[in-house]
Amino acid sequence: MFERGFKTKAEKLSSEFRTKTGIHVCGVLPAQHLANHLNVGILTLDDLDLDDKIKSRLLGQNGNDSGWSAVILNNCDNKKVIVHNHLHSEARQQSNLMHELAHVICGHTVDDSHVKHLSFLRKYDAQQEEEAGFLGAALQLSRPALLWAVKEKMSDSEIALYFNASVEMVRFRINSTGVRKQIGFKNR
Amino acid sequence: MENTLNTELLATMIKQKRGKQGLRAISAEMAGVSAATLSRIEQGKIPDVDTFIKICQWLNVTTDTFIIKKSDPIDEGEKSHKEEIFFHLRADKELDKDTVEALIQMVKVAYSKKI
Repeated sequence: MFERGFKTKAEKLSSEFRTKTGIHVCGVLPAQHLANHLNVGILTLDDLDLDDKIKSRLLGQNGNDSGWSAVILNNCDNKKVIVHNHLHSEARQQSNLMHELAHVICGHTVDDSHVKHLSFLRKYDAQQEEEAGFLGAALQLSRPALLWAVKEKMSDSEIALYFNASVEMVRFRINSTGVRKQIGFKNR
Repeated sequence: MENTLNTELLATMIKQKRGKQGLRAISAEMAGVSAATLSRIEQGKIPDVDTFIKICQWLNVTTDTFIIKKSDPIDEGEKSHKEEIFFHLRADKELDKDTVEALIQMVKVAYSKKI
């Protein structure tokens, strides 16, 4: 359940970040571009000096996905850094990075109030995940961008390819923004 | 070295207590823990904190029951002030132990890397 006004704010932020970084509100906003603006570093496993066994585990075994997408942390210089799974498709990588950047924008912190001796276990905050999910998707596909694409009669696949998103993400955004209904109503 | 979870013991105790009852039935007894999550935990995956606490409450045991405490020989005899690295992880809700340990090592390396 979102806080009142969150969705409207998310749509506004999507356009604002495009404008602030010199991109048209209907344009493609690459995650790296937004990360640079937010002063967040982005790394992959290839950038880290890791033991072969650890790297192999994180790259996945026998063709199976290792199960992780991205990690965000404050490094020793207190700079936010994202390490992401570069074996995912380009569209999924963009989605993963935008999700993590959305956590940064929302000011989400890791809740350290859980039981100390269980600190090695993850704390899953459903509210934060929902917010980052919605904002991340809005950052990747702005409402003005979707309006433009639908007016141009682009198919879901064409929109996905153009904006480096998955078809599922495109459909989610079209449904949640109601842009097709809006254009349909206007065309009556 | 960090504490770790005895996932084998956790899985065994869940299976023993539920007996012939299905996962859906015991999921209903544990508010907020889905049958799918329980299935993954029975396969040895590590749960998140809230799920773990609910399972311990259902099993009527303390969380300590499943903690394998690992001591660092360097710390013996003196208090060390280890920095706790907090990080946010985007991943499958339950991960296997080896992947969790690999991620923790990855985070430590990323923490120390100058960029």
